[in-house]
Amino acid sequence: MGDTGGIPVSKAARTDLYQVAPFLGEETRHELGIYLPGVYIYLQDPLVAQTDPDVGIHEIQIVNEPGLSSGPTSARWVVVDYNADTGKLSSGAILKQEEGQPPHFETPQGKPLDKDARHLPEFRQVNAWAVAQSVLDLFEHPEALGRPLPWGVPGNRLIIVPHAGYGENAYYDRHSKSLQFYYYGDPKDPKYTCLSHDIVAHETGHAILDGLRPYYYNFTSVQTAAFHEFVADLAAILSGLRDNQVRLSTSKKTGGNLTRDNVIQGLAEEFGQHISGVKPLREANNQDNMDSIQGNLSPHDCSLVLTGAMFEILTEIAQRHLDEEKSKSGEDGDAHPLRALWWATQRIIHMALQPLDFLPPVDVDFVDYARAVLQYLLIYEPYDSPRREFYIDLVRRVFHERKLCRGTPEQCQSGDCALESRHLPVWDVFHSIAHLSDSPTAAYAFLHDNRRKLFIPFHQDIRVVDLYRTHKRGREARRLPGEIVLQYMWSEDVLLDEPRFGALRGKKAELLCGGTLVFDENGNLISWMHKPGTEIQPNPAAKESAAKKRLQELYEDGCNRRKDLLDHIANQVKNGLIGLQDPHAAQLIGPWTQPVQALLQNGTLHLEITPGVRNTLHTAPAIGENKEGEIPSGILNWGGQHAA
Amino acid sequence: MPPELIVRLYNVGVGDCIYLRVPDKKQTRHILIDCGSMNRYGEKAMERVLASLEECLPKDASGTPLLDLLVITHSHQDHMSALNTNLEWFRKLRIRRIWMSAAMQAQYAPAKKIQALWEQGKEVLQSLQGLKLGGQYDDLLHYLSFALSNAPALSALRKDLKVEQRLYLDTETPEQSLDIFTQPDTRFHVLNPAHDLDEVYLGAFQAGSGHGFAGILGGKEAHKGPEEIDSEQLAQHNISSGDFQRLTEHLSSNALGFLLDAVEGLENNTSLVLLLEWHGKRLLFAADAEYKDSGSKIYVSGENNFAWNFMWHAHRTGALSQPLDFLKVGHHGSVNATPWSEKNPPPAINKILDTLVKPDQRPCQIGVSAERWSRYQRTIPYKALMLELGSRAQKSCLYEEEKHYKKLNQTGKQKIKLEYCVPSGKKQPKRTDLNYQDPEHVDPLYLEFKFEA
Repeated sequence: MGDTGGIPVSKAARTDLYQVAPFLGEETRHELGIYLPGVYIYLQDPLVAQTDPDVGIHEIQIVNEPGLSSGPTSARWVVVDYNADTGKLSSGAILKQEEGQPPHFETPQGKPLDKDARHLPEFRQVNAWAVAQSVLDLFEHPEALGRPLPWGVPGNRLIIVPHAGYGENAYYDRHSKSLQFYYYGDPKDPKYTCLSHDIVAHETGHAILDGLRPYYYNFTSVQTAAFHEFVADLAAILSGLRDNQVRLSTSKKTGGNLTRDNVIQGLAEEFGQHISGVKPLREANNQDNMDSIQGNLSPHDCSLVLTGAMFEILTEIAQRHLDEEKSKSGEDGDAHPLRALWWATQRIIHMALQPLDFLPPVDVDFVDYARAVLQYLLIYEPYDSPRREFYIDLVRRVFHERKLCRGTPEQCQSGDCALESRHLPVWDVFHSIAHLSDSPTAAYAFLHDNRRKLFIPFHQDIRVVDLYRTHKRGREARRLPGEIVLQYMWSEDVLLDEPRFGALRGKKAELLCGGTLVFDENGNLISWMHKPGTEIQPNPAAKESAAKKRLQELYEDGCNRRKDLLDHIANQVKNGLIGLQDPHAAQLIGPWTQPVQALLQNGTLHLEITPGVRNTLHTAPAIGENKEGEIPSGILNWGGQHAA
Repeated sequence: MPPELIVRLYNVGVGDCIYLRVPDKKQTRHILIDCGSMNRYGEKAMERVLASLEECLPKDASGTPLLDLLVITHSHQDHMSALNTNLEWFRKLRIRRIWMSAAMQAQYAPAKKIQALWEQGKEVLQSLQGLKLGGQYDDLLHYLSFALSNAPALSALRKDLKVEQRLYLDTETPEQSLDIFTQPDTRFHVLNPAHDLDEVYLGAFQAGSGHGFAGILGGKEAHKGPEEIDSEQLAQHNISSGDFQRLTEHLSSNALGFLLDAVEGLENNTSLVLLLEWHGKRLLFAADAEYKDSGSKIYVSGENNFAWNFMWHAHRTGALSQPLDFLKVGHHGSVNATPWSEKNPPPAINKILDTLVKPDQRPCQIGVSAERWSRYQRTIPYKALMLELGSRAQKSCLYEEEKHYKKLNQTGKQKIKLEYCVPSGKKQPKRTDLNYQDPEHVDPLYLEFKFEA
């Protein structure tokens, strides 16, 4: 039995325990053996494990589901060890279950998958599964989003392919419902992306966000794609921080000062070392801001603004707690950094993840996220909290310094700040929260009855994207009010009728519009973040009023969004980044594949980041400018290899 | 007047056909580097080129034209198509020597992995006949399909043509083997390919990668699939047959993409690059050598290096340490071949061109064998590169490229985007496709460069 504890119980008793687990405290869960023993993972990756044994291979807590089976296969994941290089489907790790003994994974030959098994494929299978599952646990935990999260694909079980083939790559692919992990380097002794905690967590983060906000998969702007990268990197950072051993090592090395070199702020160390010779692949501890990414078309690069902002907030919270710890008398000095990091971890998980529920269903940008984080604190940080002002001021300052709001302090103090949420509507037709949350159709009825207040054109059919309840906990594990979250959207056709659209000229694109309404349990609207369109215009003859002014603002917002979308598409065309995808052709992903795929459906254009390019850990390739704006045909666009 | 060294670039569209007349003491050596065309130069059009060539060659007592050396830099269509379409012409010559890239040698041990990959690529291509891959890969397949029809030319080069010397060259080929001149300061140097082909150009890339994907592209019939896995077996792996099929399609596509890329790039990067020294003059024939911009690093041991990256690594203190007198631009002026990028700040790779073409130290004539063929018009020849080379070349030209292709567009046969063309009033290096504007131009069939001892 591993060091997760546990007492021998029958299978039936384990099922009983699993059912009551949500009501048990962490210590009790541990004592009763709720967790599966003997699940070992690389806390970071094999390179870090060599240089820093404190964050080497350790046991991880994964809940022992009654339906767990070999593979591993659990409710939300199935590991399928298919290798495209060899065409072979290998057997998975075996779940050994003996009556009266806790189950555990082992090789088909009966070898336990402990540290000594780190070179075995079964170890890698379990490693990838366990990290993915722990990231999902993190996001679903009441301290985060407080609900079971859906995938952005049909069905509820994603496929993990730990040895997908040879290549410097790993990605989430919605179209095959899978996380694919490749291996690279010396074929005799390859390095496995499935052994990198950060890479597995990053791809899992993509999958989770795709379930939360499926329309973010549409490449409507560089910032939307960059937001995907941000959440994926955030998943890696928070998942790392959540591990006791990683926090312990980090606190020892940094003394609680996270600006010092540490494994949390470096992402994908081993992979980064391989690619660039400089580890890691990306740095969360950065000073990037909106000016420094101006004109940058790489979602990975742009995402660093938000990653850097949230890491800075984490760093300052840790410092605040550290200062508070130090000021307490009679404490053991060595304990301060660790405790400060624990507190900071709790708070950053709340502050970074819980606001995700506020975000609009489409076309998210960095300001939306900054606004959501601030709104979250304003709503949920208790007025009696001694740190309320600190958190709110910190978030405002960091996002302003990162230039997400360009207003002067005076403008922002007078209420004209991009980070402040806008006013909430007063309904034309009231629906009780019990009624509107009954079903998507009931929610639609509510939306339809209040189109005018929500600025939804009457001729547009509304899609209810999602409707769900949350059960979150906040500071000191206090239960937050339950939320009912309603996402809706519609789309406007936008004709690409200028020469700058090249081969896309004459096609239609979609301006995605919609909003997210968040109610409390009593039906009070606590947040509305939305993306207006251009089809409702203010009547010039109407008398001046606050409502007319508001409508004018929204109309202008919609027009700006439309212009931004057109500029975005033209920019992608100009830089030769778009490849036309043939829906009847086999999809290929390789060095010549354009990073953006354009798919025509019923005459309307859908842009998606190519899976292997969206999520690969590569940075954007060198791109030759294509000034006349043609969609270049095929392989020449990559600016690198081509035939002749 | 002392005899001149003459280099002729024949206008073969997208392709190379380079004739060299090299004075060698009291003799003259006649050399042909490559003879192929990618696009519209079929048997008939090539006949004109070969007839012109034949006029240059001396005849023996029986009237047989003599060619001292035939060089085939690599086995791409645009470098050897005439050996398919006009093989009889080559048969009637007396060819003393044939030099080829070491990578063209059948079952060559140092290229074992590369050749395995090529074979694999060809197998895949054959299995993909008629299958639509979509997007950028259709172009690639179109091109790679030429590789399948090169068998007669390769057979002629490797064994059928009767010659005194047949060599497969790499950088470790003994110098005496290359000693075809009697003049002591006249010699060829092999700059590429490296001897350890697999190690230099493939690195850790796994030959065998990609195996098993051919059959599952879109579930098409008649393709060999991955190992047979029935739905019962899949159930044991907790996956349905539908989900598994979708998964393997996507995984396989990935492997295929990387394979096809590797196959095509390796041919160019193992092409034979020669430096000719003649009375202190330095003439470089860059074949289709490509470069890779890897930021601050140029060569990484154990990685899949590109030709220029290797050449700089191997010869930067030797054959490539001094400026050139002539550069035959590689890969038809493609964006990926001449080691120069317009990126700002300039990448490390730019130092290669900065060293080799240095007009303030040594005037350098530059020639490009190219044509804006519609399929590759954006990057062949690459506009920014043409402008850069035009600013450095001795005897650069003010072509009216836009007007030229506008006129061709009016015939309805071409669809050239004029924005890819270098604007009037901007200097370019000499180009085979635009030589109508060259004041020194004699025959529209070729560009000629002359060098005095």
